Amino acid sequence: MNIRCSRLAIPARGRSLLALLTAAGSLSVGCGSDGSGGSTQPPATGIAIVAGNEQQGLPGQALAVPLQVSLSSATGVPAGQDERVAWVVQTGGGSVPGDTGLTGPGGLASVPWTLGPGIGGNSLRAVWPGHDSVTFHATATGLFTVLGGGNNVTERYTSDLWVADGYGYSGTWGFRGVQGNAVKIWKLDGSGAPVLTDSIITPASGTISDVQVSDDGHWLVFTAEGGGAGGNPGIHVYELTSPGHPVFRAKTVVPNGLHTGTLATIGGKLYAFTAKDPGNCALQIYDLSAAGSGTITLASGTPIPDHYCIHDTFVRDGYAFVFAWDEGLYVFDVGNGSHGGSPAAPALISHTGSQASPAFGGQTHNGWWFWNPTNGEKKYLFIGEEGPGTVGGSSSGDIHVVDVSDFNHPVEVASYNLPGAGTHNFWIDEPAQRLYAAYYNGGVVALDISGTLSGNLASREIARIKPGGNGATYVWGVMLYAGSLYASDMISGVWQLGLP
Amino acid sequence: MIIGLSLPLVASTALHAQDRIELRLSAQAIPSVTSVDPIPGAGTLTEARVVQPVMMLRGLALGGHLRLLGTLNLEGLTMPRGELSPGAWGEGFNDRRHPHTYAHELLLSWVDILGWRDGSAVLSLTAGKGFAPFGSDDPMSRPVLRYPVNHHLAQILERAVVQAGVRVGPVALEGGLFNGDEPERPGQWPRVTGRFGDSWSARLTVIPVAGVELSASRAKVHSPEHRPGAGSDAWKWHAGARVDRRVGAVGIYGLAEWARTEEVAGFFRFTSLLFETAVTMGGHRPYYRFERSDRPEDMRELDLFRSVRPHLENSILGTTRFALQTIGYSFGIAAERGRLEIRPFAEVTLGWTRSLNGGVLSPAILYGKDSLRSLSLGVKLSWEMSRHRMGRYGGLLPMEPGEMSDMHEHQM
Repeated sequence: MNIRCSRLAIPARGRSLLALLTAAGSLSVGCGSDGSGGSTQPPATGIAIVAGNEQQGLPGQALAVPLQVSLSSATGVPAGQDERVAWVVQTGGGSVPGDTGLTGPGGLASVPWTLGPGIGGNSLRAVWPGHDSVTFHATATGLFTVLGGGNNVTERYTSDLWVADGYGYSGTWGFRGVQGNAVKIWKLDGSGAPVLTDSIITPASGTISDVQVSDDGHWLVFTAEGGGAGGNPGIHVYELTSPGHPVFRAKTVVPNGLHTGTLATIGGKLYAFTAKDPGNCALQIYDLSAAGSGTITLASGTPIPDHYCIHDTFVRDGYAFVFAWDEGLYVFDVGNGSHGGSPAAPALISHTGSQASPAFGGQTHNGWWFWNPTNGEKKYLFIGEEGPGTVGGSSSGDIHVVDVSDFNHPVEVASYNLPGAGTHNFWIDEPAQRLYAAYYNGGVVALDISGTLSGNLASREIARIKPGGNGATYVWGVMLYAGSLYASDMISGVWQLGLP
Repeated sequence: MIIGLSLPLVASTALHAQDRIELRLSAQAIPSVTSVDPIPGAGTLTEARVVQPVMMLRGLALGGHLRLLGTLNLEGLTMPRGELSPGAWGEGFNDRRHPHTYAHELLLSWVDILGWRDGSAVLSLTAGKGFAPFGSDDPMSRPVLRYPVNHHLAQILERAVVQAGVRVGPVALEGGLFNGDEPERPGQWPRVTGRFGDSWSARLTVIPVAGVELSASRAKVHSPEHRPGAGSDAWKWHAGARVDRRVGAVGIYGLAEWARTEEVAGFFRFTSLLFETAVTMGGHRPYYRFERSDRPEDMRELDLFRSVRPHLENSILGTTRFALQTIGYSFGIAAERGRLEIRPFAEVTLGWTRSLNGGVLSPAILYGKDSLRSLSLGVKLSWEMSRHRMGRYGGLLPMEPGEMSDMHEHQM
C-alpha cells in the first residue's frame, strides 16, 4: 500500500526553516520512491537526497546506485561546484571511498556506499558543513536458516506459540481429522530444537487460539474457542512449577470463546487482556492473581462494536492497544495513570477507524508498540492487517506503521506489502531494531525498522523464508528466544530458525 | 433423529369469504429417509425427517390485482438440525440443508397497477418477506427432492424485499431492494433496521414461446453471512434457461443454469453449472440433475455440520467443488379430485469432490475420501400445491406449464 504524502509526519519541533524544508525533501523520497534508489523532485533549498536512498544490498558489497545529494541556496539556486560534502557512516559499519567529496555541475555530489559486514540497517549522513544534513538508509539482506523442528505436528493444525524457560507451548486450530483442542509441549534440546514431550487436551473446544507464559515464567495461559454449550471455550490457566508438566489451576468458560489473550502485570497483579468473540464483543480483562487457588475474576468488560470484534491486544506501560478489525485501533489507559484508567475501569484515550471509515487498511488484527532502545523513541506502533485469505492457501494484508507519538492522533506513516501474502502475528527484536512477521503462506519476513520509517518499507526487508516450502507453509506466529526465531506453521508445525 | 413425525394436512380449500376475495390454502410435507456416505468426519449416516413441511395461504382481491402470499415453513420444528444433503451449505449449515425460516414468504403484491392504461403491459409492486428477484425458482418447487449445492448461489431467499416488475410482451424485468443478511435461525426476521436497502438485485426474463424462459440476473448482497454488516459484498450473476410445457400428455421440464458469486472484490469466486430435467407421463415422473458447484468452507464448530456464526473475519478454509449426479423416480397418485397428491419417490445421488485452492478443509480432511453418495426414499404429500413457483411474484410469469401469465386466472 502506498502512503499518501499528506499523511506523513511533520519533522520534529525546533528545527530551522531550512531543516524543515530539507527534511520535507527527504520525506518526499519516502513518498515517491519505490525503494530502489530512484530520484525525486529537486529540493527548494539546502541539501537533499537525489538518489540512492532506501536500497538493499548484500553485506560488505557496494550498493547498486551511488548516493547522490544536491545542494542549493536558500533561494533555491543550485550551489556551485566544489562545495564540500561530508559522508559520515552512522550505523552498520559500512564505508565510502573518502570522508568528503565535492559538488560538480548543478550542485550535485555523489559517492558509492559499501555496506557493513552485518545484516540489517545501515545509515549514512551527508553533511553540508555549515548548513544541514540528510540521512541515507540501506538494508543489508541475509538469509534465514532452518535449525530444527518442522513437520512435527501432523494430526492437527498448529496455531499460536510461546517459548520460555527451555520449553515451547503451541496451540492447535480447527479440524484436521481431529479437533484443535491441544496445547503441545516442546522441550528445547541442547541446540534449541523443539522436541515434543507432552500435550494438554482441553475437551470440547475446537481451537486453542492464543498461548502465553507470564513474564515470571510461572503461569501458562491459553484461550480457547468453539465447543458451544457445555464446551470449554474461554481462558485456561496452568501453573508451571515444572515447565514440562503444567498443572491445571483455573478456567473460565466464555460462550463462543476468546480469540486472544495477552498477559500483563499491572499494580503487581497478573491480568489477561482478552478478546471476546461475538456476540457481545468486548475487551474482557481477567484478574489472574488468584488463579493458583482456582479463581479467575473478571475485572472489566468493555463492549466493542461487532464488526468482527477484537482480534488482539498489546499491553505495555499500562496502556492497552486494542486491534478491533473494522473498528480499527483503540488505545486505553489500563493502569498507566495518565488518564486515570485501571484494569477494572479502562480509560479510553482514542479510537481510530470505523466500519464506515476504516483506518490502517481496515481488518485491524494485531500490533506491537516498538520502544527503540537506540534512540529512546516510543513512536511507532506496528499494526497487522489481516485481509481475506484461504487458510492454508492464500492470504492478504499489510503491515502498517503508525506514529503514536500522540496517542490522541495516531497517524500512519509507512507500510510494508508482501505480494501474494498477508501478515499475521509479530515479534520485534527491539535491541536489534528488527521486526519478524509471520506471513501465512508467505512464511516469515524480517524487516529492518531502525531509524525513521516512512512510505513503502519494501527496501527494509532483510530476509524471508517459507519453512515448510511452497504449498506447505502457513505461518501463524513467531517468537524470538535464545537467539533463535521459533515459528508456528499451521501446516508443518513448530520450527527453529536461525536469524539472518 | 425424528422418526414418524407426521404433519396433518390442511383439509380445507378455497374459501370464498366474499365475492371479490379468494383465499386458498395448500400444504405439503415429505416424510423421507436419507442415507449419506460420507459425512463430515467420515462415515455413513442415515436419518428420517419430515422435510419441506409447508402451509401456504394465497389470497386474491380486487379482481386479482391485490395478492397475498404467505408460506409457513415448519422445518424449524421437523428438522432443526437440518436435512442430510451432501454438499449443501448456507445459513451456518454444511452437508445439511438448513431449515428455512418459519415465515418463509409473506408478501403482498399489487398486480397490473396501471390496468388498461398501459395496454397489455403488466406493472407490479411487491413487498414483504421472501425471495429477491434473482436466479431460478426455489428448489422446493422443482422435481428433485435434494436441494442443489448451488442453492445460495442461484437464489436469494428470506429477505425483507420491495420489488417492482414490469412485463411487456415476452419480456419481464424485475428489480428489488432488500436486506443483505441471511437468517441465522428459523425464528429470525430479516434485519430491516440498518440493513434494508443495502442490497439489490435485478432479473430480466424473456419468454420466446409459451413454456420457455430465458433469464439473466445480477445482484449485490452486502454482508450476507454477518448480520451486523461487517462482511464483504457478494456480487452475483445468474443466467438460466427453463422449459416447462406439455407435449401431448407428456409434461416436460428442464432447467439449465449458470451462477457465479464473487466476494471481497473478487478474492473469492464460486461458480455453478446445473442441469436438471423431469418428464411426467401420467403419474410417472423420472428425473435427473447434474450440477458442478463450488462451496466455500467456513470454520466449523465441534459439530462439523455447522459453521461458526457470526463470522470473525473474511477468510475461508477452502473451496470445494462438488460434481453430483442425481437420478430419481416418483409416481403420483391423485386423490380428492386431484387436489391431494401422494407421490412416493426414490432418489440417488453420486458424485465426487475436490479442493480448488489448497485450503485446509479439503475433502480428504473433511470426509476422508473424495467420492460421495446418498439415497433418499420418501413420499411427497401435497394438497393444492400446484401453481406456485417460489421466488416469482407479481403475476409476471406463468405458474403452470404452457400458461403465459396467471394474472387473469383468478378474476371473479
